[in-house]
Amino acid sequence: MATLATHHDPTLYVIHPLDDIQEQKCTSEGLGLMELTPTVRFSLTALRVYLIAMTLIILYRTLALTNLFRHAH
Amino acid sequence: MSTIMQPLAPPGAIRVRRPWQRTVLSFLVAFGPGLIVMEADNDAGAVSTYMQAGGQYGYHLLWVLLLLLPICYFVQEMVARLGIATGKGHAAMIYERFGKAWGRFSLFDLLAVNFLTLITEFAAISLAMRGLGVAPVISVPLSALALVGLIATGSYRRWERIVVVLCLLDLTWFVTAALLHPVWHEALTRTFIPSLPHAGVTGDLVFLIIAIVGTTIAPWQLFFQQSCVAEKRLRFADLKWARLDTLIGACFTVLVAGAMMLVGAFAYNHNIPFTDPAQLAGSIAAILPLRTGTFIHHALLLLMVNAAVLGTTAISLASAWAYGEVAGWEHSLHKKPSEAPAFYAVYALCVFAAAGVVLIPHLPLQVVIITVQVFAGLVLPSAIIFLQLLLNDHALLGDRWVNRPWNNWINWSIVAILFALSIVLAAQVLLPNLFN
Repeated sequence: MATLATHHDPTLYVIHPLDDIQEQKCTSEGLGLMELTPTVRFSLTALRVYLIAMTLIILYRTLALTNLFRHAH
Repeated sequence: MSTIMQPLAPPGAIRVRRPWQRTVLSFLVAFGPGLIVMEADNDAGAVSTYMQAGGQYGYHLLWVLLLLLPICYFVQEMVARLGIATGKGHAAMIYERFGKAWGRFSLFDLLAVNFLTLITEFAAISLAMRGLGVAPVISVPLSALALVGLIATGSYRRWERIVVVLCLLDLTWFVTAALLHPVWHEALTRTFIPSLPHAGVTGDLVFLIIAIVGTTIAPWQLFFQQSCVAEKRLRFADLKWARLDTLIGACFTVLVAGAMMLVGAFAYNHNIPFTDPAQLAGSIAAILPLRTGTFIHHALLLLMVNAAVLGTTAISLASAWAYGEVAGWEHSLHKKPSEAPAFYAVYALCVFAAAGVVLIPHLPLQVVIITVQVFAGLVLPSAIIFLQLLLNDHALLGDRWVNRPWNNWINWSIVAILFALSIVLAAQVLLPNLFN
């Protein structure tokens, strides 16, 4: 967003972000991976196990709902 | 004699005379991603869920939408902030800060949920267009082609303008709801004073509330808005406008969702049974005067198509951006298809594959819709946990962009609520008769 104004010319300018000069953003370059405490690491691993288990259960329930296993009984 | 040097206008700058004009225009140039992400969330699945909620419980669940308004805003504000601070998408940040294993895991979850959701979008297009007399074998491939054409022009701005117009078409929901003469006093009371239906807490009610939460805040929204903000190259100074855009989007989406529920409540008040919104459109038309009935019938079916189109373009883009970020391909709407072939190929593949699945005869669509809602509800809390961890990453963001303590309190509370709902959902999947 640009603002150019003088006492004699109160003209103001607005620049669309796509037309503006690109800013220097926050970068992870050189930072490596985020440092996680053992508790957070354990929680994330537990979360992964929970998600995998639940995905498999949902998959099973979905297939059961579509009667895919009806011939197995 | 003095000479006044006129300052040169920066290239591409828009000249205005008044400070208020600058303020309005500064907002308008940043406006878009917040409205689009919120309104695209009122997709085909949402239309079905909200109308079902109204059809089964009348005005009783309107208060849930009011509760979801701040949740929507706070979650998406974090994404917009992260996108502006880093200039990168959500998948890229997870990959860079948590490593390949978590990056791939998140990407797989996202792509799986997104693909299932896309199937429901095309199912809605098929249903609605059939109601308008167009066979699915014509409507589905044509809409898939149009959806690919929408992004293939190599211009983010063109895509954004078209999609914002599509979002604003959703204002028709208010006209449609008003024409059905809801009991406004009761609707407002139920919105601001939570109440339960006469039957109390049942399995169906719990499932429906979770479905409403799952459909109002979906995992793809996190990935979409951050990538969209990065694509639009929003600047640090645009953050306040991005926040306003997100707030307007959140309010608009909740109001539109309320209008959908009011339409569904018409069925509840008139004892009209229905299994999908297209069927309800036909039933409503049958009992209203010809002119109003025809308008509402056509409006509901076209709004269903609009919802599905919005959902499809946003979800497919979320997938294509995320995959491109992780794979390291060119992934931008600013590029022409020949300059970013893999990005456009992923988008087209998502669209055509989902459209193709819908054309399979005897596909159990109801099972797909339920699976999408359950799966999305399951994935959402973990997706927000990553977002929350990233927004507390001082090494990456510095003190300026990280969450404030009050942000963290609110967001961890949201994560706790969503996790509790996710666990209830899990329990219900394991024990279907838990609440009966």
